[in-house]
Amino acid sequence: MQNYSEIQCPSCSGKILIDAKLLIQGGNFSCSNQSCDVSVSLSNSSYQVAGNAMREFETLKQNHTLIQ
Amino acid sequence: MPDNNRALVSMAQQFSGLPIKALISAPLLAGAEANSKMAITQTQFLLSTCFNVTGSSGSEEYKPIMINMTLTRSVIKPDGSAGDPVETKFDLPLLTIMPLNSLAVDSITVNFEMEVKSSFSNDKETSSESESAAEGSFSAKVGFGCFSAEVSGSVSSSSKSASSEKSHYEKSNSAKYEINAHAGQLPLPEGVTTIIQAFSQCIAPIQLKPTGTTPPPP
Repeated sequence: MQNYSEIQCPSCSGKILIDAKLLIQGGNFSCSNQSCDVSVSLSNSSYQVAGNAMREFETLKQNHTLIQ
Repeated sequence: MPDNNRALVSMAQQFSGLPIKALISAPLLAGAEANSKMAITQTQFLLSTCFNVTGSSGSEEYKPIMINMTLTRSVIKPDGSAGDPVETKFDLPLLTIMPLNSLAVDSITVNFEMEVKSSFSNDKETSSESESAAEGSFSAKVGFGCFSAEVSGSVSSSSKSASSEKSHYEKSNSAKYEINAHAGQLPLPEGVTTIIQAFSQCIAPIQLKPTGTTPPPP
């Protein structure tokens, strides 16, 4: 299963691949454009919201595994 | 006495009673039902987790839940030394970072194997063997003057008789019904992909102006 999401780099419009699990653990993700030195991370104020959403998403995935 | 006219099991008859339609359609229907449940669950998750619902029933308005991200950009000073990284905040819809996938049953394999065995053999072995024994002997002696004669004899006979017959009939049925269902990842529906793209393309850092400054003249 694909575990990353893709967002557009706000600086160069390149691709930034984000692993949500690592993001809520404080990970930084750099732009895939080598000439762009931008990296993004989750702000402290959003850790709880993103963490709750990921927990619910993991529960959903486990339920799907049971269906399989 | 064996039944020599015993017919072998009719294969066509054995297969004619099989519910082939049910055997094939039941797993397919189950797969479709599973797909439907998974799609509904994912949609409910998406709407309840990634959106805030406002408005009354019937006229709900879904607003995406935003998360705040920090964009870090390194700075190089004019003299070539590294400066402090510049941090910029921007908001991102929560939906865009969720690794959503369309889970669905993408293949179902139904293997049905039925084996009907029927065999008949008749072994007949007949041998005759009778045994009887008889024995007789006689002797006679005759004398006449200076002549004498003696006759003796014996006779015996034996015979055996035996009879055996073997009959063998064998019939066996076996059936095997195997269903393989595999759930895999499907591409997201076009609508969801479009929404996510629209959200992610609207990411642009906003430069906040210090309070009290007057906007520059046009």
